[in-house]
Amino acid sequence: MLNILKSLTICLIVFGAGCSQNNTETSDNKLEDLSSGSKVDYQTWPLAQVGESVRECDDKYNTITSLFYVPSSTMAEQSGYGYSDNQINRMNNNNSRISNDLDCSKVAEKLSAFSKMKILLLKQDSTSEIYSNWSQCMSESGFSDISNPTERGFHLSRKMYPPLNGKMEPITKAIARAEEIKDYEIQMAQADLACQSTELAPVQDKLIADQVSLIESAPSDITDLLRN
Amino acid sequence: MLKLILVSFITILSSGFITSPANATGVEPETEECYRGEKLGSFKAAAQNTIGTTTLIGLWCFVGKTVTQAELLDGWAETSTPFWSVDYSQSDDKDSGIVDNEARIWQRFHFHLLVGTTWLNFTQTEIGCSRIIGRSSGDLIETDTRCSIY
Repeated sequence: MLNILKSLTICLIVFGAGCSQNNTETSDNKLEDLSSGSKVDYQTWPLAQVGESVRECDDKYNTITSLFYVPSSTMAEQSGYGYSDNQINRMNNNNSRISNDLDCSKVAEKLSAFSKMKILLLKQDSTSEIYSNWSQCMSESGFSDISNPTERGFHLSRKMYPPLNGKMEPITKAIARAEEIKDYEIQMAQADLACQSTELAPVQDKLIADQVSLIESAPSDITDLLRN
Repeated sequence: MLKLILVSFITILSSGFITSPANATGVEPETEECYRGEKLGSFKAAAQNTIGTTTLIGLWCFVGKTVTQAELLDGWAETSTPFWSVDYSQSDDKDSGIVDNEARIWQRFHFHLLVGTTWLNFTQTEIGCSRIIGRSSGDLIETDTRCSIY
């Protein structure tokens, strides 16, 4: 009986692999188009260096709230922004704390300056208008109520953790939901790349100008933090 | 064909043919139970006006009466109050651990009042914490606003 069961399982795996192969081919074609259309190189932006230097701490518990964080097309295809995977890993973790060895106190001032910078950027006319267009594009792709890129994380968090109203939830149920949300996250990240390509790339000079202007107008201690 | 295989597979599984090791030996091992809990907070400024909400999500596990795991899963703040913004990039403002056989998970939240569009327009900052306490028996979950696992 067990042998029959084993054979059936193998059959299912073989069939499953066939299906997934087909899906991958379709996605690859789509992503190729996206990446060739994407002309935003965030690494060259004024805040790229400081953003990168604090990202581990900025995202210690929340992986995609950074304004400048953009997944590669490969990552978008496989895991979206990595949020669902991150949460599933946490829920399954065997007492091994993630990023436990990070000492973020060393970059506390830099983080604070970076965070205030991100808040200010959203208030600048050009950046605000461009993100509004990006948000509209996301909405047309089926991802509404994300007013700017910093909202991407919250959007997924709300989906991942609906209110419990004072109750508790077995973690197995939360993990099952996270597995479902992963597909949604992948679609969202792919739409995000497409919207960045059409809404941000053509006007990136304006976004960069807002960053430069804010860095230059900051108090000297903050400017130092943001330039180093 | 695939449908036939799936139906056969489900029939075999639901027939009860396969028994668990625990049933076979007659001894039920103590299993680890894990839950997620939340702390929803309403954030008020010094003048007692609400400036935003906070959500903290924690996980804790226990085996029998022993708490075995405490983990901060996620935490975020939101505001729709004019001129207030959430600052989510704070360092070392969150932690989790097991103290006195309780899972304790906390995070600090920061809100900034910005009336204008320049650096000089940051006029006020409000800071506060949310904490979840998970236990293995009795009232399994409790929440408060302490900024420490101790």
